[in-house]
Amino acid sequence: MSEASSSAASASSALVAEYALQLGDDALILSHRLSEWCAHSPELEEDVALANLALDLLGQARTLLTYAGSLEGAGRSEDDLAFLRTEREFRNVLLVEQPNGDFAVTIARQLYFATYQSELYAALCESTDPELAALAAKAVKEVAYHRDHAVQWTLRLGDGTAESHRRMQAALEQLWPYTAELFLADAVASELVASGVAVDPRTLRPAWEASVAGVIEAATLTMPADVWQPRGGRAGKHGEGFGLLLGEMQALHRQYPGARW
Amino acid sequence: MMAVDERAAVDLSALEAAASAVPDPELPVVTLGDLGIVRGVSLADDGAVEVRITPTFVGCPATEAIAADVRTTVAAHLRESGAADVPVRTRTEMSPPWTTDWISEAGRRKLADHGIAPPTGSARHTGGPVAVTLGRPGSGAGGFDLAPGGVQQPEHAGVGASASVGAADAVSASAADRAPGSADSAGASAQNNPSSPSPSPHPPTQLKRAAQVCPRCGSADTRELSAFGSTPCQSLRACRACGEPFGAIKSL
Repeated sequence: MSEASSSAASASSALVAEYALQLGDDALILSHRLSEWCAHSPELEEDVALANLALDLLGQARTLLTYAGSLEGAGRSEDDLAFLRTEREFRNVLLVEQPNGDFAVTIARQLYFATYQSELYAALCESTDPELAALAAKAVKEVAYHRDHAVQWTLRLGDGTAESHRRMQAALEQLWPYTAELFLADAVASELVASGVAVDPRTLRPAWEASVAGVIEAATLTMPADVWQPRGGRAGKHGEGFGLLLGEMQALHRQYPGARW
Repeated sequence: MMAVDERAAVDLSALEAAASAVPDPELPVVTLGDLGIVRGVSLADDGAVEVRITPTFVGCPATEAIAADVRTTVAAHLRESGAADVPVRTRTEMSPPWTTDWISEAGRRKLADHGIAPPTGSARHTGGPVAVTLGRPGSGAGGFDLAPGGVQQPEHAGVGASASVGAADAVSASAADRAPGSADSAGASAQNNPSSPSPSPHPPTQLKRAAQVCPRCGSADTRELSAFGSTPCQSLRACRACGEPFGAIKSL
């Protein structure tokens, strides 16, 4: 066994489970936010598009949560993890739980997050953990379409009418503070970077920022400036809207325990 | 443990053929074999028949149905060959990742006959960072090129002004596959042309994908309405020649 794979094998399963939960929760919560657009989108093609994005993300979440549950070894399934954890136990970044707002806010969130996921999964293809590497190799191809969708809409809204430009700029400004957290390395990620399991999120920032800046400039928009930088999602400290989100997402499962159809 | 004569009754290649013949639950005109979903059948140490399958798109809602159909079919075959007590299970293998390149020629023909354009060009994604080339339509000189890793480079002269984003290999593969005067590049520039006769209200994607032929009239003069369609694997296109919209399997 190579040095890298023996380190991966000896890296605590609990840590890898935590890492998988971070990535899985990002996908799960964003999937839920996007699904809120169903039957409410500005046009039919977008209703279909956003639902497709949500479904792709849900697939990522299911794979990651199932993996986390199996590593944890406490018998928790993907459903247990998605529907029975409480606010403080979720590990997603704050960006993905932000409310959809108007369509421009949703697109700004997609631009920031799909670009991040694209860089993240590309790097995670090299993970020494075969399950994470396998998921990354699949997800990176699908997320390329998410990124394209976000870029095209940013271009159209920014370089559109005065109204769409105003809203798109406002959306970029509103969500910019939440992007800092994407590139923070917490204790879990840091420890797993050494064994090659996890990607150091700090390494993703230069390519991400160059890409986002390029799109913003081409869209005749202005790059937002750094002001405040909220964090805490990875530690379970979510915003006040998160409880409402979980209330909706988990209601059915909690009201009818053990339901089957 | 199984008796020796029960073990002899398990014909693995026949079981693999049976699993491969199972129709896809969402697109029943093609089989799992056509789609490259069945990776193989083997006899596990505990005597169970194990069918290894691959998911296609990560969020594909048909994954469970496919696994169930495979188990049912293989179990039926075992009963017919007198090995009814042999347990059957499926195992999902994600690596190497499924790609539309694995769709067989027969599968592609069946899809087209059914009115769904098969994927064209080679998927061949290396998993590396996405190259983004941006430019203002018609400006020619106004764009810049972000190579993988985010290093800015001046856009080289002669590159079309249309913006494109997507897997670097897919872009280069499709560019290599087509001559400059091909229908799709004509289509792409028509998309960017503001005086195009029927502009889609939906922002046309400028991801340079290889042209997909209209399954109704055979014309290569088609355009993409949306990268997202009725299933995760399909995009929505429209034919400029006959005017009909159609689903198209996305290259992945």
